[in-house]
Amino acid sequence: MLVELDSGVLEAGDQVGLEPSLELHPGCNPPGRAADQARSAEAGALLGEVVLEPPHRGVPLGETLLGARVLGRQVHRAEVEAEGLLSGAGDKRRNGHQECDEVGSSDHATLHRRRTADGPLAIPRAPLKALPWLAALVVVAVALPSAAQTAAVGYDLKVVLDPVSHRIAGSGTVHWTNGSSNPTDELRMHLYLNAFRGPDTTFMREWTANGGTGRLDPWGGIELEALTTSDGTDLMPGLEMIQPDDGNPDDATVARVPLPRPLGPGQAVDLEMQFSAQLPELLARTGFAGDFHMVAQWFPKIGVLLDSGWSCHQFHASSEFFADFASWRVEVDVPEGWVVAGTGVELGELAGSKPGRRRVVLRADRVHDFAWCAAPSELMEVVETGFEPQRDVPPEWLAEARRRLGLSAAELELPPIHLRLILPRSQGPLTERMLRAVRLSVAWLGLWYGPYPYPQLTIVSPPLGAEGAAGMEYPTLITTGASLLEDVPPFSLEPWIEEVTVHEFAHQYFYGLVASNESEQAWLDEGLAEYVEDACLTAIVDDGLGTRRLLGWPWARERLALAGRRLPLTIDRRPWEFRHSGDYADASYSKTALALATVEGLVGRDRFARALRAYVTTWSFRHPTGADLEAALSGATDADLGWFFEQVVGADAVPDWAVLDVRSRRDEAGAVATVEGTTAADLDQAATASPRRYRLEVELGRIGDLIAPVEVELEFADGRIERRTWDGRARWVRWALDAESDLEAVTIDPDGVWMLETRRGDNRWRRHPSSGARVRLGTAAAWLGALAAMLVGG
Amino acid sequence: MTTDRPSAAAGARELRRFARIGVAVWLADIAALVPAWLILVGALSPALGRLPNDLGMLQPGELAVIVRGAFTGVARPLEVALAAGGILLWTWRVLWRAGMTSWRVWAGERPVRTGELLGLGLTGWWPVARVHVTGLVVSASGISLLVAAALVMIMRAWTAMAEVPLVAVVLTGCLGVVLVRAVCRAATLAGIWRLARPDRRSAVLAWLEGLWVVLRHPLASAAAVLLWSAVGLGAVMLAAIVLLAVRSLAASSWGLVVVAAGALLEAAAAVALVGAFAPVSGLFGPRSSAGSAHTTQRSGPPATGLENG
Repeated sequence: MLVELDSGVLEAGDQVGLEPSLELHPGCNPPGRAADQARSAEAGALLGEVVLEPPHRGVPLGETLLGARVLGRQVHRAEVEAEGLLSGAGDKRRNGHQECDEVGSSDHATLHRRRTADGPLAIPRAPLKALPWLAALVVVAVALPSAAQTAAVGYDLKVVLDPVSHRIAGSGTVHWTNGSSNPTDELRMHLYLNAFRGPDTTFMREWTANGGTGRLDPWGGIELEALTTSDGTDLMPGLEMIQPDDGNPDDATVARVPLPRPLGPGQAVDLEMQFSAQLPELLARTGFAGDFHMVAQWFPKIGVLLDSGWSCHQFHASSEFFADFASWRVEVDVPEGWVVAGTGVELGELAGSKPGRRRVVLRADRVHDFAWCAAPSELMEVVETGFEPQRDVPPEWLAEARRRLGLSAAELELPPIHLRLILPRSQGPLTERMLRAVRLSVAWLGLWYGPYPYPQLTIVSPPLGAEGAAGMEYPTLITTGASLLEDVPPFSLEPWIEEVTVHEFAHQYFYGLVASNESEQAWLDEGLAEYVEDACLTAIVDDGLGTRRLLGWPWARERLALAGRRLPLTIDRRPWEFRHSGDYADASYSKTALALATVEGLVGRDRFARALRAYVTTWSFRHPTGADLEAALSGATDADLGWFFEQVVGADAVPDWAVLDVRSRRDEAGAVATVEGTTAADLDQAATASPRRYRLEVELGRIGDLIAPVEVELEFADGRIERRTWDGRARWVRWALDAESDLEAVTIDPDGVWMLETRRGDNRWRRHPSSGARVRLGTAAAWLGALAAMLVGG
Repeated sequence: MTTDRPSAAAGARELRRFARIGVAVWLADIAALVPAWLILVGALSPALGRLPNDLGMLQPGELAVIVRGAFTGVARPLEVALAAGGILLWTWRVLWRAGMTSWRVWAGERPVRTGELLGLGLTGWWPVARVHVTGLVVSASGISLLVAAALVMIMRAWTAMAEVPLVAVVLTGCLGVVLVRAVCRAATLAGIWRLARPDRRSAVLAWLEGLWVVLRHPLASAAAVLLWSAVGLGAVMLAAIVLLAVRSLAASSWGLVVVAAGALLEAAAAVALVGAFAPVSGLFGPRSSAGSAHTTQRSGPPATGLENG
């Protein structure tokens, strides 16, 4: 029997005890009273107090201490003082005839693992110096009455991969709790792999409509073979496929399962299921290419029951995923010699389902999805390393974060994280570049949005031919993508590795922690990840830590994407409601990122940084909506951003202002009227003032539909600069003013706050055109001409 | 028997002889591209003129969208101007090369008179153009074959998930394209000198003869092409480096002077490159198989070449 940790969060000072009725593994355990106590059937036998060294506070127990075992090094040091236990834990020499493998040690603890050919996972042991062996049992099976959180949803799955037919056979149990305020008499489940069942599914129709291939070889699909409640009630007879989005009868990605009795709020049901699936040719995130298997959305996944009803959409070509946070335990059975990487951490290995196979046990808590990949070790290699904050956080980043967030270094301290990179052996030369990108991403997001709360991050770079799996996020696992060509100049100048790594890691926060509904509001995770990617890449380049910035990249990329559009976009739409995938991408990624950058400019960089951090803190492990983001940003910045979100996110209003005209008249008559206004009456209004020399008229226009106040800078010939705000309500305004000197320049939005504005050429007026940019242009154009002459003439 | 081996040193000698042509090439290159330049500058100047002198004050990406916006409306005229400029450039190159080779063969050591040279160029333009077209066709065909073969191999490597072979194919393919282009370019230059011989043959045969010369003298041909191409490219890139290094230069009219100087050097290198293949004609050098009379001025006008098609 596998003895494992219960889920929960281990805090310093927690009382730990032992689950009753556990069969404890002999052999590695030295004899003694401790062993007798451990075998006691008494529930909740108190073992003692757990003391954790800072800063590892609040870290899920299962993932940390067992992570330490799996990783072969001590991540956390736990000193357990147990009552009445013998001291002097044994090492392997003292454990009699049993073989124990030492996998890691520190000054205070050594963890051991024992493998047997026929069965149970060896219990990790922690014979601590002057500490009893029972500490190991603390490591493996602990009930934490004070800190334990019973997961509302839990998956315990076993899956066997057949690498020849590329089929998987799965079984397991699901524990599901109704977290809504309303009872439900049904469950809804995602059967995502059915999207690849044939050409007429909703996914494939939309995919081909956007220019994608219409054929897969082989097609994919998932079949739910058995579904019962824990008391044996067969749920299969009532199961039916539904198509809540488009009514497409050929789409079977959502199943409705009536329950034998309604489930009230807070009530739970345990299900047992069996399923099998055919992995498709790798097209969109999941499938196989050669021997590389990227297995995502591979099991029947229960949808999310909100107060407003079930959120369980069909699988569309542009949509992604939405599920409850859950605890996971997954056994993956693959051929011997294969590499397995998945969400969470690897607990260890069991014997495979048959000779020549191995079974890897993975565990994850408080994540809402579970993906894994498998490939032969001849194809993929594993690099185990870490993020070490002392080494990997650039000091200038820490200093800037402290200053702008107003937090101390201690408050910004980041924990070490284990990094597990799985990449094709042929991409070995790119290892350091990939790891550098990951470490910088972890540092950046950790400083600005809080520490990455899991002990491990797995990064998978798909091999050649498996590009369909590249650039995707799953909780604690990201897929990037690279080509060996990127090790060769000039291809090495392309920053794709950095872009995709930062973006996908950003999803660990926006999607992973802040688990917005990707299937309905894709912009909430894609747009935020894109914004963070651009901000992080800018910092990497500006601080000389990575690739060079050219021509305003990366922000220029976003702005040009919008500038090239004919039709404006509404951000807040469901992914499948966009005209085509290009619109979805422009809205969810570029426009959202620019919208956030604009808000940043409107409220101030520091206030925005704190607001976004507060949003992450507030909404981690929850499901926010766009309204929640708006409220969070508005609240934290004390700015009413409703007008902005309404026009920019909820509608397609475009910001575009222009300086229409500037006129000046020199008045020699002496005293003239001092007027400001927009009507003829205003202009004629008389006032007595000290003598002015120039009567000036500035006309500004609002070309776009977005109504917003905008700053206007007036620069006078005498060097004086005046800033005014135009409320932008009317289509145009005329400012008439008298001044002692002529106007030299007028600039709408002088600080460039409105990153969303893509027509900026008419935002400025200058009396005397500046020569700098023009001359540079002329010179650059002439140089290009010389180059062209050389190439054409040759 | 005079050697027909190309020579980078011969290029330097011919450049001295045809220095004025270098200047003419430079001026004509500028003239060919001025319309496109004017359209581009005219389109962007209003928008750029409104920008602050310190472009660092702009937000990231703002310059990019301003430039993009300014291009709207002038994209089509610019395309036309660029296409016309490209055609003019190519036509001009053929003209002065035809003139240069004809002059060298028929006028011998007489001081170069630009007008007469260009007249000769006009006369011999069509056959020399055919040599160039032959080179382009062969080059395009060779590159197409290379690319097709590379694509097949790339697909195989992709299917087999063999990344190292795929990278090798890509890099080899790139090298192959450069090689094909360089060989064809050298063969064209050699071919126009072969065509200038009194016993001229067809343009295609002249090109093939040029190819044969290149294949017989690969190192000399490569040295000539590489050296003078590097000088030309180097001159243009040096101008860019200077402008990037000295920002104040780029922001002033002196920037155009720097570019013009680089272009002049490039034009000179272009003339020298043609001159490097002068020995291919077999008519120059210490000993000539056709006798010394071929190095003296001819009494009559050169054949137009039309007789030989």
